[in-house]
Amino acid sequence: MRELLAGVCAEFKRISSNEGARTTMVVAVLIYAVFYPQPYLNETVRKVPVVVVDQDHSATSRDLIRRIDASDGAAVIAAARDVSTARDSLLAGRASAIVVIPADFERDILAGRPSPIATYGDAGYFLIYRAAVGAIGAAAQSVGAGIAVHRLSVQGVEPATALAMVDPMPVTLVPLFNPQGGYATYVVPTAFVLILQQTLLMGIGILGPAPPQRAGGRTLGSQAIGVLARALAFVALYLPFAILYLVIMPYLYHLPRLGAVGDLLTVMVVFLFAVSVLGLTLAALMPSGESVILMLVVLGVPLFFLSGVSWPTESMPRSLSMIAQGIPSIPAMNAAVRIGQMGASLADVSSELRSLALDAGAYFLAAVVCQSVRDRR
Amino acid sequence: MKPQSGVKPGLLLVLRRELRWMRRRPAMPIMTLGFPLLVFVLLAAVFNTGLPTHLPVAVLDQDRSTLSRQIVQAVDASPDVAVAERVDDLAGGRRLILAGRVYAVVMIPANLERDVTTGRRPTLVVFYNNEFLTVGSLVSRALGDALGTAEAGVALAARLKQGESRQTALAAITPIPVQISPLFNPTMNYVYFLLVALIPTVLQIFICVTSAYSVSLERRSTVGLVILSRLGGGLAPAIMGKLLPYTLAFLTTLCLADAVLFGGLGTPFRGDWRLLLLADVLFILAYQMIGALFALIGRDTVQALGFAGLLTAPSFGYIGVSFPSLAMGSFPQFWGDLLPASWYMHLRIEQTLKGVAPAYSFENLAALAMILAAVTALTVLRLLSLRRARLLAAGQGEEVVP
Repeated sequence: MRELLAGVCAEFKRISSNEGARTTMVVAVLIYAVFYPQPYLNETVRKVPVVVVDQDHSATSRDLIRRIDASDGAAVIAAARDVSTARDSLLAGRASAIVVIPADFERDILAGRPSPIATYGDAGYFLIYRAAVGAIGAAAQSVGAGIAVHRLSVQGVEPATALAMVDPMPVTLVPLFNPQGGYATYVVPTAFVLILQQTLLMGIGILGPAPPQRAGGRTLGSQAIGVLARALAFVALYLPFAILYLVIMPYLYHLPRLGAVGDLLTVMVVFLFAVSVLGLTLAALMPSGESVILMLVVLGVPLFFLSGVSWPTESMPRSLSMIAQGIPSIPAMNAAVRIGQMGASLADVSSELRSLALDAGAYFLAAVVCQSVRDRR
Repeated sequence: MKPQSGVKPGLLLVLRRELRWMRRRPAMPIMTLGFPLLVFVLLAAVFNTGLPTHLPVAVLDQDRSTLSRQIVQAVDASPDVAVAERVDDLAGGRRLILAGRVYAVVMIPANLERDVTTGRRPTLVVFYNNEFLTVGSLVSRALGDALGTAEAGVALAARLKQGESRQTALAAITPIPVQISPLFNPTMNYVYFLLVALIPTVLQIFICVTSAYSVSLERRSTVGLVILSRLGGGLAPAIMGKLLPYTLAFLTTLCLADAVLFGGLGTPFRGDWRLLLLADVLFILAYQMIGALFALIGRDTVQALGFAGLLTAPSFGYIGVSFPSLAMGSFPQFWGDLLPASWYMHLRIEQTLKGVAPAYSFENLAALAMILAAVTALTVLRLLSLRRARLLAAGQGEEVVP
């Protein structure tokens, strides 16, 4: 026990005396907490610029345009004379969608014929396209429903009955979590877990493998205590960062936070331990601290997409998602978001916890073995 | 390592030295060719199946009528979702969502069929997991469409029963149909866009850190930079000779990846390849220069790599492909405009997937060139100031010992 405590203290001393490790494991962690989320903080795409081509110039067409402009998703920035002018502003990137209201739009409606409008949207950017097309479709539907109800009431149908004929079985879509569909809510907590892992692994890589022990102390048992001590020091250093990343920063950024902090920290302790022993394994295997950094810095993007949060695990090759469970960030990202943002309990994330515990055990053994082999050489 | 007698200092000499040096260090071929291609393969495997289909949803059917069974069938028939579970109450559905087993619960209220026929307008409610935004929007759109179609079917049947003609009834249900044409992406397959964007996003990290690494190793030996400029017979050939082998290696990697993406994976290519190739070169050079600059500013290799990582690793967000720039605040917009990757990405998407006339892309190309020029100027200034500092340190008039 005393050996363990001494090991933990020694590790803290090593971290504080190594400038590279200190920068990576403290300064970089603090910078990323502020720098990383900036692009996403506005949460939703609003007021996508739309150009309208109104060839009808009627009261109904103007009503439709007004409703599109008043919507949350789109804003009418200009009226173009013809489709080619409108297309030009789309190609030049000034507008993201075009609405064409054909001549005789109102006349067809009054005659009871379907009166279509056309929308061209820049489908290259998913969120922009969805916001614009959603807003235009909703405006057309609400103008259309008004007309349909009006027509029926002209025929003498009672308003309530008319509504039941137009909309007999309304559908309500209720977002259970992240109600405003915010991008930061979706991306930031997940990415934060990954940043914790990457900076910790890099920091351990910079610190390097443990210096070879005294001649007497080379038993596997003392090697295990050495690895355990170092890992505990890293967990102790990073636990406050985990609280900063998953509790304090979401609060400051006004991200929804539902789950119990205790549950979140339980997951984080197992996760940080698994990452620490993985880091010690890498440090013993790789030739230098720089090579650890080079390897990890480029893996951030694929690791993010492997998590199953941004892209569903169901549509990945099964073998790939199984292997991915061996990287601590992947079950941890899932568990952290489900507890933090969705209010899940530890029981709901039991399979992720199991993966994390397996990772922790496996990498602990690997770290002990790799360190022993390295010492013997 | 003195210049051999009989060999004139110049670009070629630096180039040869760099190539010899690259052969001795396995990290270099790995970081310029093998590893990036491996990461691309990994990403392609993640997005291998295209848009997600058959995403699992649960159904809570409290009516168990002919109509409710039709609705469940309509949901299951949608290619995007699949009814994976049936639950008896909402609490059960919520548990499945929290455990990550389904992405939505469709609630069909009791007495649905009776209420529909008597005109009481019962509501179908879909609870969906919007925390996982991509899946949430796919699932909610698919369910909204499927249930909307089911509703239209009910409305149509009611009107046909009243003796309206089919045509009149259809016109009455949707008086203003919206004909939607998704431009540039007719199949609405965002996987193409993701992969087209992710390749340079990953590559800029490789380029920047590799370049920072190789230049900072040069700095590590006290005489490295001096030798380099002696061998080159001047600053410009020395820098060019040092960077050129990597430019070619990364260009090869990028072209290989693009050949697979547009050739093998069937991603549509509608642009001008010459313009794209020109932009590729500027993009690679810009990140090499940035990496070199970090190496000249950083105290040591670790710090140089730290700068390079900080600039490139979180840049996917700032580039504005996932979350668009137009919705960002002013700081991320400004920062994104400073990144060569943002301009390159616009041009790349325009000249591959969109097939926009080259004239529309010149602005992006010009911005890319301007950033490259600015970073090059900063790098040269930094080199000059380092040289002056070294000369001062060596003492006036004394020859600097190579």
